[in-house]
Amino acid sequence: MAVGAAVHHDRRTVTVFVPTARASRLLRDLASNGRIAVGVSLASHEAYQLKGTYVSSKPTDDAERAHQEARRNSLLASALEAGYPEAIARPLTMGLAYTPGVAITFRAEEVFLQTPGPGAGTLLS
Amino acid sequence: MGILPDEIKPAMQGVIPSHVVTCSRDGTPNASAISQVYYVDADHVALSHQFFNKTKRNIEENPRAAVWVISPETFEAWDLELEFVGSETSGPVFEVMEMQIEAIASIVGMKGIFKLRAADIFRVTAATKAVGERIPLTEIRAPR
Amino acid sequence: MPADPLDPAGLRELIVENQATIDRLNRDLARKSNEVRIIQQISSEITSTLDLDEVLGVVLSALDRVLGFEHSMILLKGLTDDVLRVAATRGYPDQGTGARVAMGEGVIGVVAERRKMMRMGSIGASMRYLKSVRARMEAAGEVGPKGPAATLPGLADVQSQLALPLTVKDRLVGVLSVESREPNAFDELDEVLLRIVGNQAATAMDNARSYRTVEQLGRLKRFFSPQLAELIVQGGADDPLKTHRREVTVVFLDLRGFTAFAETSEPEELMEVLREYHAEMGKLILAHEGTLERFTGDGMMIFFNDPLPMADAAERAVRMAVAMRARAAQLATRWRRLGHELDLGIGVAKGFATIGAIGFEGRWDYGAIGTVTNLAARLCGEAKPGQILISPRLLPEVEGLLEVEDVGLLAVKGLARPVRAMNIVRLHDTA
Repeated sequence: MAVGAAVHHDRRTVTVFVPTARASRLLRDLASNGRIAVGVSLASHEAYQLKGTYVSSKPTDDAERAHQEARRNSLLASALEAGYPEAIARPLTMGLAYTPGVAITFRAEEVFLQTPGPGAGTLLS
Repeated sequence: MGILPDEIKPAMQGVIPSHVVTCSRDGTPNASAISQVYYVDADHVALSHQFFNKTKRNIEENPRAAVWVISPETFEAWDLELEFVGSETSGPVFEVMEMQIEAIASIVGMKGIFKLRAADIFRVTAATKAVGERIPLTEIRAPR
Repeated sequence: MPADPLDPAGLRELIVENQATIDRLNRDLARKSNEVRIIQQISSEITSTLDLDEVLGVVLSALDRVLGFEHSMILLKGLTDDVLRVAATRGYPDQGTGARVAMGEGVIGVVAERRKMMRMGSIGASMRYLKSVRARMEAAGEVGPKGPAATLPGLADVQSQLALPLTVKDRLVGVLSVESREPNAFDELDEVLLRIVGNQAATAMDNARSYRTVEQLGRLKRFFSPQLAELIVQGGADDPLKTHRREVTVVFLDLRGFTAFAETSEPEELMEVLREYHAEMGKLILAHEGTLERFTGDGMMIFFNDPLPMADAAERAVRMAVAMRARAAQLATRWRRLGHELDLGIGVAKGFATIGAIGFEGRWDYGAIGTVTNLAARLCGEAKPGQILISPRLLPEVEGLLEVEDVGLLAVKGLARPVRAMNIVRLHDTA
């Protein structure tokens, strides 16, 4: 379960940030099978899935943590706008311990539309 | 056997969306968000899949799935490891799920359009509460 | 290692262990007795009254005070239709009594249709999900735009709901629903408790409803024929004896030559003619399902569309009038041979009237008052023997059925302008 992600300049490499407490199993799996699928869902039910190959991982640094902070705030705002009650949205988005974290980088090969409804599962690129 | 404790039940009310991950036989993973994981009994859960064909195809090749639910009371996350048992199109579990979908569909003008196709029943092989993940609620109170 | 009862330290351990067990058993017992006590208290309150409104009020009050369900409502299924109507509510700012829910509509409608209890803890999230799917389907052209939403009774921002069908001997009597603005507000124990209360409420409600039906029937039979009284009670409509306004078609008839006849004939002869006249006219009133408002000797006033609504009130009125004219003509032939000159005059008009129980204690009548009754009486008064005078307001509905002739303008008390009167010559579908 990641908190925040960043797309690199080449628009192909993506780094997701996973709390260290959760990362060990994930890293073990990635070491044995380099394929990764990342589901991205917005509060509005808009959703995408990225599939690709694992590249590398390292602990998150200060810049990345600052990036995560900014993403959390906008996630809270979008959850409230989508209709989540404050009592749920706030603990849900702000309550996840995101540091210490692991930055997991992968090369995206396919992007799928996952928003529920017509077109779900379509390969976008 | 009773793998699912009572405290996980609030996480299975659909208040916070969940996620399910499956994997094809050749090892390609697939992740999707789902609106609700339904509690069947202490050893089983049910999923209602309306749009996610890739998940269904994976399950046919490899019956293992991982599901992740969050409790709307404690906001703790639970990782569940599942094994597909079968799909039901009738029976008490199907009916409970079908009635809920029917009730909401009728309100949003989808009566007869959005219907439960099947209830996918899974046996829970492991249930782990994620630890060390929460920032205490007192530290994230809204600024007054 | 089991403690050795002969060793003082061991004995103490044993005592402590047993005490803990005793405490736990006491707690379990207390909770169970508490629940039992709660149920007993509620059930005695519910079964203490036969008045339907009181039963409903007691049930909802008990659910709130004793079980903490702050927002609750009971809907009753119509006796003759499949519509659920809100009969009592608690914890809603707008009472909402009388609001309707169709089978299969929303949580309450689905519970009624499937006859199964439903518990939902995340209505808001489910609505958001389906709404977003619908929006995408609409954008993709897979479904048309959403029609106007029917407002269902209940909390606008409901998150949790627990609803169960109320049944008596396999018959659906209604639905009991409790709501909350908190997600996940109800659990399995709440289901059990509500089910117990619901069963008792269903029986009490059914008893009260039967009692009310019998009571109502008794009261209405004093005003209407038994068949009409049954229809009114079964319809579950508002009490017709409460004053109300409705558009009715009124038929006024009286016997010409009756006064002269009354002065010159024997009392027995008079009563005999009257009896025959009332009996024959009465048969036709029943056949056309009109409401007899009054008869004063030789005059009668009948109206249509109340207390039972009728789409074809005007048509029934004119058909009855024509049938009455024909029958009266036959009777008149016989009476003439006995030496009496008696002929019928009829007036028919349509308009709004105030209707309800008129009179005083011990002498009530079901009466209608309005310009329409004056007009019908005036038309009747102007009608020559054998004429049926109708007001032009009836024509749009019945002119296809009738051949009419204009008989001129009439001044009528209560109307600013004179009314054009038309005489019914005959019905088109008769020779």
